[in-house]
Amino acid sequence: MGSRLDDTPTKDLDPFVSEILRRAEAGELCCLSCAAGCGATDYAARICPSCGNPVELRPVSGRGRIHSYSVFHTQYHSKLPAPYTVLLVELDEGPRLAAVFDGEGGPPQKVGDAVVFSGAVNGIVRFSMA
Amino acid sequence: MNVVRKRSAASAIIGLGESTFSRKPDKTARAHAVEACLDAVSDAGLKMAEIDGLLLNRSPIEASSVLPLHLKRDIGLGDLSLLASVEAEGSSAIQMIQYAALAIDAGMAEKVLCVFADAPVGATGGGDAYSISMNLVGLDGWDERHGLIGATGGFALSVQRYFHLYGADSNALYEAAAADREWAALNPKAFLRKPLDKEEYFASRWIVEPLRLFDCAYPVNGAVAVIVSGAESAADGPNPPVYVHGFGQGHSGARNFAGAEPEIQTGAGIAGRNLFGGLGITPGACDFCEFYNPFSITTILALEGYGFCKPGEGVDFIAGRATRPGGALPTNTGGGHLSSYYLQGMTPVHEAIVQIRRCGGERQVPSNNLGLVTGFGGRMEYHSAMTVSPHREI
Repeated sequence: MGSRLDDTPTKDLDPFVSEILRRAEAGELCCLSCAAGCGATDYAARICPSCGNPVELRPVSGRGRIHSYSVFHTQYHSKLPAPYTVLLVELDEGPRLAAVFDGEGGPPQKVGDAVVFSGAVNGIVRFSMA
Repeated sequence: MNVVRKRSAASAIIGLGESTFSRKPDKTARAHAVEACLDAVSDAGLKMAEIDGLLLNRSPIEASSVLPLHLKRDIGLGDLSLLASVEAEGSSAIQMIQYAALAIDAGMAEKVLCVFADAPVGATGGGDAYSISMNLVGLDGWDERHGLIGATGGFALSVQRYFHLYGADSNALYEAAAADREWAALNPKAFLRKPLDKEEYFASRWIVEPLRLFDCAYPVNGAVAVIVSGAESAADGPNPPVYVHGFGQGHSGARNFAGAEPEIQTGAGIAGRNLFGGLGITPGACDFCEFYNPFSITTILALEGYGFCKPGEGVDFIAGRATRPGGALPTNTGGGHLSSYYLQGMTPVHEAIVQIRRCGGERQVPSNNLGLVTGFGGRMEYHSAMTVSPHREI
């Protein structure tokens, strides 16, 4: 079964990305969720893995736990001076999302720690310790 | 499922060729490929006109023009009945051999040349070889935007998850890297041959914490080519045939969602089940392993994924010296990606052929009746594996 995005003739490969970032910068973090009500999916899904219906954006609580993390010691772009920590956050709703750790210099974070969405600036979503 | 249920091999690798591997910017990937192809044909005792199939594999971060179908003309090939480029990242090398074997079995071709070539080492080193976006989250551009860059970033997350689940630490990574280096010391073609002591390892710089420099592969410019033939005529050439009895692919469906552990539950488990299940054997039947291991953690995950150890036990298995020279399961016997050279899927394939031919010199494994060779792409998401043996019947 093809994705409904297959027919969209646009250079923007993933219109979900810009919309998720736009809403995050306005203070609302979203996940992808089955339009027919099966619940949240992972961010890679473009159809519901259970029923095959399209997915749509749904707000989430912004709470989650650290599934894993890593510390980057090289600066790759101007908005992220090194070192910086990337968290793979498992949201309470289930999906996992990469975000930048907000709170460098504080106590070291651990896998399993509770974290919370702390906002998005310049297209970068950040989480801090809950 | 891709399963070849045969204990009598239908196909064999009869030729092995390589270009001059280089750590300096030198030739194009295409020029390396030409060298390796000519070498493989000569090694097999064939004339170029006897090759009727050609399969190509380039690095996933390169454009198709880097290794085009026109390579066929560069090496003076005539009419072919099989020609394709295989693109499944690091699982491609074994996939090429598998598709060659299947094509031969189906009567499409008789002698298939399979080549991988890459020239990642430019003026600024070879680090770009790892810069491919893994798109772990599944939103285009999201990972890069959030600084989750390259394969090293993705595997650093795997390491941290592994540490959390099994209580391991950096010493586990050191042991894996040092074991490979011990093999490399015995391989004249390896680039890093000095024993890796603990101080040097722990003093090496972070690439992406918890991965240090010596946890990462050593890219070179070069090419490796092999020739696949039907088993019937395989013994006619000048070199001992490397019989291939089984193949297994496995491409993980694990999602980044609660309950899944894609860092640990990789395509290795699926490829291993397909491979060993199809042959009706267990991993214990293997005398040695050549894993695709661009990062130290991946040898640990491969030992567990393919069923040589239970989850979490790969660390002690390696620390107990089982994978080192003289150990119960010689592994990455040329030094692997970390210490010999990184030519993606062809590094383990090349070493497996050397071991089956008993050309390993000081590093020759004592028992070479059956070897496991693996390849993977993504964050171990896409796997291919095969067995190799000097015996047509196993």
